[in-house]
Amino acid sequence: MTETPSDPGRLLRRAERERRARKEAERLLEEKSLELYEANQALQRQAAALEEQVRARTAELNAALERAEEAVRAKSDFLAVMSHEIRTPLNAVIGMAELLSLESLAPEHQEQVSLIHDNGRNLLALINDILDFSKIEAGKLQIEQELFDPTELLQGTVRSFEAQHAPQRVRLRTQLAPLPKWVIGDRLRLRQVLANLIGNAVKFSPHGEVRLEADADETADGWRLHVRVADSGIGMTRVVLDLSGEARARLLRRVLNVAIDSITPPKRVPANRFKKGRHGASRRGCGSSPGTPARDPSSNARVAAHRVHQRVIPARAGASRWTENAADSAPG
Amino acid sequence: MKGVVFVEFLEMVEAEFSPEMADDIIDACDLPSGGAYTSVGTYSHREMVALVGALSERTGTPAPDLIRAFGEFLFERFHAHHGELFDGIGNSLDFLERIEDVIHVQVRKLYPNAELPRFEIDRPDPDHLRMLYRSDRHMGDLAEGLIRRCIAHYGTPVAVERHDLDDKGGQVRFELSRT
Repeated sequence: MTETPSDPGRLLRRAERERRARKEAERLLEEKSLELYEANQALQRQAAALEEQVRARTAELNAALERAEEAVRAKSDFLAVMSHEIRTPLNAVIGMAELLSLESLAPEHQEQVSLIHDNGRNLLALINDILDFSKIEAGKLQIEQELFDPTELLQGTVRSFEAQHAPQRVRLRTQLAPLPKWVIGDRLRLRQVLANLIGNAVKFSPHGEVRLEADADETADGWRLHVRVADSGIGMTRVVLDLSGEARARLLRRVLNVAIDSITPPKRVPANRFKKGRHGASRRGCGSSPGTPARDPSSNARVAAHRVHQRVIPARAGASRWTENAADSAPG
Repeated sequence: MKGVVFVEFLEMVEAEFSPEMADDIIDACDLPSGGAYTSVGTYSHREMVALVGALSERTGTPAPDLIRAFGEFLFERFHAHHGELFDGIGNSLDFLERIEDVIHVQVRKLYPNAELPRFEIDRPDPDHLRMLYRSDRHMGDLAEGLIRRCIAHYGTPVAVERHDLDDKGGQVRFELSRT
């Protein structure tokens, strides 16, 4: 007998197949769910292990950082202490040399005492720089806010160089615009920065001229003092500090030549060697100038500038007055 | 062989013939699974051979023709369920060229233990494609049905030359040329 489409036996067999297929699907689903659960557990274990590794590595790095900071602090403290320890006897040496120079000495002995004195001063300056460096590293360097006369400070700084280096190969000139009589700032640090700039300008100028210029303009929050140090020296590049090998050797030879030149008579540089422009510039072999480098047809020299900006805050009544006579503050 | 192939085969039998035909061929074969297929299950490919044989016997259609027809049916189902795999592909040769690197990769994501046929693909120029089919399941006819339906799907005329490299349909080279 042939079964019809609606025969109960056919329908029952179809239902049974469906039931078995469903059961099989459920079994597979459970199996896959279990696999997923186990995979998930394994991933969680891996994630936890990774987090633990990160925690351990972070702790190691923190400990290493702490040790490094401690080492830096110890070094700075040591430098600070040592600098003080060295300065005390050095001051005695300088003081004694000064006293000796007041005595009636033979010219040869006078010169020897002068050498002791000058070298002592140089050594003291070096030690002071080291002390400053250790203070900066230790975060203990304070910028003072004190009242001072900028014209007097600038002129005094240049005078100290004239006293140290006259007679010499490089002429020092000062050109100051009318400046406020009193300003507030760190007198010592400004003088230190200027001394470094002028010292470098003198050191790297075989001959010619080093010029200090300053002016001030009024801003919304007070006066701003602009100071420029210009020279007709060998100039510099931004990469000069990274020089190595042959390039550094060439630079050293130039510096040695400067030192040798210092025993030869100074040469005057015409005033028109410095040409003013809107932008300061310096290039290796081209001096340092306040303006666009300008070629001097007579000497082939170029110049560019080091600039120092000092915020000027009017202090008390009359603090922002200009000096009475521009010529008084702009000799040179 | 994955259960999805059996499920789709019975779908085709029900659609092209009748649900009773599907019942009949299942009842006629002594299937270890009893014909209770689920898509995610895995079953012996001999069950497929038995079902195709029973269908051929009842309909008088040669088994290779039935398998090719199933290949064409399977392509349409594949397109309906995984249309995203066709995105950005403009012709049949480009699609078939990606069968190993893209299509089979996607299939393995859904069915990690699927035993898929291997295709060696050679595309000497944009108008020609050479496909070397190899499978222990000897389903060269199924591959031909899939290929022909793919060509029909994109509409651009492509001539298909089939070269059987053995007498069981386990190694077949298809030469496709855009006409």
